[in-house]
Order: sequence, then C-alpha cells, then structure tokens
Amino acid sequence: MTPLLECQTLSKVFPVRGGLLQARRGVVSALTDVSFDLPVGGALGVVGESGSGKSTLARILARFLAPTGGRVLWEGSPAEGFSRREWAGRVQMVFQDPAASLNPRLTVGTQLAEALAVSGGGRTVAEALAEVGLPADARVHYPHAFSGGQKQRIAIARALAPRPRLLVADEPVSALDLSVQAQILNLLADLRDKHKLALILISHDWTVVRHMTDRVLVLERGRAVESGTTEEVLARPQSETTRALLAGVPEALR
Amino acid sequence: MSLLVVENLRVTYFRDGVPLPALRGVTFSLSAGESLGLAGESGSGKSTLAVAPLRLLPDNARLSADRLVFDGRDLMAASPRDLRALRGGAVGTVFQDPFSSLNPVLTVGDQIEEVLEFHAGGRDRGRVLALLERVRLSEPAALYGAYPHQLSGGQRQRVCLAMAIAARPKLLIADEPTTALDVTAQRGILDLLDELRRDLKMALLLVTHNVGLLVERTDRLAVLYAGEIVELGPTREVLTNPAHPYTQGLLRSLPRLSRVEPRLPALPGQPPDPRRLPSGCAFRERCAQAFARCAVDPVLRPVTGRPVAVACHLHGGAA
Repeated sequence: MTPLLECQTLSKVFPVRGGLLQARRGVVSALTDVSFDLPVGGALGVVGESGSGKSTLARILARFLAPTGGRVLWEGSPAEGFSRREWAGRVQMVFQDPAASLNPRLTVGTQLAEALAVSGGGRTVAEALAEVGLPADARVHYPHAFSGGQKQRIAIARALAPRPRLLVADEPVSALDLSVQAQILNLLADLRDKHKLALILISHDWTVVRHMTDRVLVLERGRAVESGTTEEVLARPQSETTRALLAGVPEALR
Repeated sequence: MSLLVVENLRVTYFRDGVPLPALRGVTFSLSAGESLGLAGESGSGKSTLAVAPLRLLPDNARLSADRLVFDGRDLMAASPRDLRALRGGAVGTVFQDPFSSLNPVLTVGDQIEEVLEFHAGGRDRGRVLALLERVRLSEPAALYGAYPHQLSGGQRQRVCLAMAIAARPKLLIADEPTTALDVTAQRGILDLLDELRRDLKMALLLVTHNVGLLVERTDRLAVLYAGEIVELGPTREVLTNPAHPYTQGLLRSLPRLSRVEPRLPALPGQPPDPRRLPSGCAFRERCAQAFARCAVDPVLRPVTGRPVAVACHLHGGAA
C-alpha cells in the first residue's frame, strides 16, 4: 500500500554565520539523506538533541523550507506538485509556543473562521472550539486572555480546521504546565482517533514519544542514526546516541 | 545555621483595587550550599516566591512575613538601600529571559564592570574577563566590547550568570534559567551552576517545572499550589513517593517509558481563581480523596516516619 508520506534521502544545507559579527563562514548540513515512510494514520516520533535537524525536518514537511536534496512524496506524488493551499489542506503544524502560531490582534473566532474558510467543510467556529474542549464564547476573546494550555488548544483547533491528514507537532507540550501536558496529549490522541490523523511528533522527551508514537527516528547532526518501532528502540537501543538520550530520562519517569 | 529563613510569607498583588493573593503563608529555610527546587504551575506563586525574600516586587504588591532572615540579617527591617546592596551582591539572580535582564545600550564588559563597581570594590577589566571565562564564554576579550543583541540566547544567559556571580553571592536565585535555551546550552548552564555551588558554597533557589532538572539539580523540593507549599522534602523522596494528592496526581499524569496506556490520567480541572479561593484546602475541588475536614485549612507538617512535610488532612492523624 502506498504510504501517506515518504521522505527519500532528504537533505538541507544552510549557509552558516558565526562569530560576533555573524559573518558568513561557509555551509552546514542540517539534514543529510534522511528517509522514512509514514502510513495513513501512523505516528512517528523524531527524537534528537538541538542541532540534530529535527526542526529542519518539520519545516521541510510543512513546506516552510525547501530541501536542497531528496524529495517528499504524498501518496506517491511529489510534494512540489501540490499548491501551497493544497498542501495546507493535507499537512498542518503545531508548535511549542502556541502564542507564536496565533495572531495577537485577532479574536480567536476570527482566526478560526479564516482557517475554516480555506477548507473547513462547512464546520462552524463553535464546532471547532468544542472539538478541542473550549466553550463557544471563547471566540470573542483575544489570545492573551487564555492560559498556555488553552492557547495550545486554540492552535490545535486552527491547525485541524482544514482537515489535514498529517499533523506535525514540534514539542507541542514542552512549554506547558505539567498538569496541562497530559490534557493536551489526551486531546491529540482523541483527535487522531477521530480523524484518522497521522502524526509526526518532534520531541526531545522520550516519555512523550513513547506515549504517542509507534515508530521512532533518532537524528544526530542531521543524520538518521536509528529507526524502528518505538517499543523495540526503547527495549534495545542500537546507537550510542539513542542510549545517551535515553540515559537523560529521570528515574522518576521511567 | 540557615542561610535563608522564611516564615509565614504572604504576598498579595492589587489590580484595580482587587486583592490577588500570590503567596498565602509560606514557610521554609535554606542552608548554605543547599539547592532547593520550587515547583508549581503558572499562578502557583513560584516566581513570586523566588523574588519575594529580596522584596523585588512591583509597586502593586503588599508583603508581610513573621520572619524573613538572610545570612543573619532581618530583611523585614532592612532599608531599601540595604536591600539594593544585597541584590547583585550576596544574592544573585538569573531569570528566564536573559534579554530583559541586560541593558541593550551597554556593552557586556560595562554591565559586568557596573556590578563590580557597586558590589565588589570597583571596576576591574581582568576580573570581568576571568568571569566571562568562568561561565565558559569563548573569546572573552571580544565579548567585552559586544552588545547584548550581538549574542546568542545561550551566550546572553551566560553573561547574566557572570553578572549574578560577579560578587561571589551566597545565594543564587534562578527562575527557569534555561527554559528559553536548547537542551545542550541548558546542560552547560546547569553544570556551571553545580560547579559554582561547590566552589563558592553558594545556595541555589531553582524555580522550574522541569522534573528532570529538579531531580538532577536540587537537594530538596517545595511543591507549590495556589500560593502555598503543599509538600516539602528531599527531591527524590517527594518525586518517588509523593504524599500530597496534588503531587501524586501530577506525577501520575505524566507519561512513562515503562507504561503505555491509551489515555493519560490527567488531573481534572484547573487551579482555582485567586479571587475565588475555596475555604480550606485550595486543592480540594480537584481532589478525589477530599473529605469533610478539607474545608479547614491544612497546615504543612511532617509526615510521621518520613523526611517530608505535607499540607493535607489525609496525613493529619488525630489533629
């Protein structure tokens, strides 16, 4: 069966600037020959330290960045064949800082209405809010009126408005209060079930990856150093990188 | 002897004349060289607790305490001038956003020189360069003349740390010092804090909601809920065998490596609105084990046979 998403030998090279005056000093490979498949409704964790290339990968998948090598296929067709709007109807992102993905000057209702107008299939703002557990009167308020967890719910509602089939979530709970993290993870799990939504979860947190994904890809300095089912990788980590990352999980959370 | 003694500390903010209690009677002490973690959610009062002992509070805050003693000095009786001399001197502070703590129009060198001038006997370029080296910033001579906007987030946080330790403080207060940084930069800053604690016998008050940091970097842990310490004890003890239903619920809600379940047992509800706190235990409306006595204020007291203290009637015995 054709996977929902295929990444074939994806690479990304950036010009690098350094020193105090940020002079251009050459290039750095942020991502080198990364390949994976994601089945319909599947969940893949992408784990690595900062600088491992995981956020670059997320940005390529959302088409905020173009790869400098390799390609992305959606149900077998090259990503470049889709217009931005078509891509946005398929792949959406949720970020660590929900405030960054919301417009502070527009009410929640206005922002959701805009997102629903793209391809919301006739759903109302109230329905979109209810789906993420927020009351209908949330629509009249501006983002600053909400707590971090509520803002993330709004960001998720906005991301899901065009009914994407893949959600790329970059550290979606790491900035939230602990008691809110479980609520948001439960919400994401419910929405995945309800909409057969595939998930790529970018995280440095193995406990969240363990909870949310069935496969995992470990990146180090832009290269895939390990991949497999999440269970297998956790039980028998093969690479030094994975073992080192796992050693960072506090005893209390094992 | 305790370096810092805090007894029945209360802080209330006033917004449009409406009182918003932030700390509602907090008591703890900190020994020299000890590291105490303050954990709690947004609105729990943990950031207020980090700055209240030095009375670094905005004008709309009112503070009271039965005792507030630092290094043998009564801070309740201290003049604004004495308090200013302590800040940046015997007590260093590092906050989450290094940008807001630095003056954008002064060079890195000038900002650290100012600390030395005010707290450590005068400007001294050699000492500034040594401090920059101490916080492991490369090319200290070049950095000396740089402005904050020319630095990365990690570099700025290291500069803040260099300023905070310039006068060899006895206490460092760090509020989410690494939250804005990536994991590698985080580890660098925290290793440095540990090293400074050892070398300077500096005590650390670390505010964070990161369980991993609390385990690795603190000796004792205070869990705050709605402006009160609900549990206090050795960090490992509190995290592996929590006594308060709030701490228990919070830890149970976190995903684990060894456990897979379709839904996490999330804590129901939200922390209470500070304008409408329930009588008695502030957690009782979210607590599955609440009973009649919870309508009476619980007091933080030691649990029999354990090194922890908890504010919960389930542990109250025959009170």
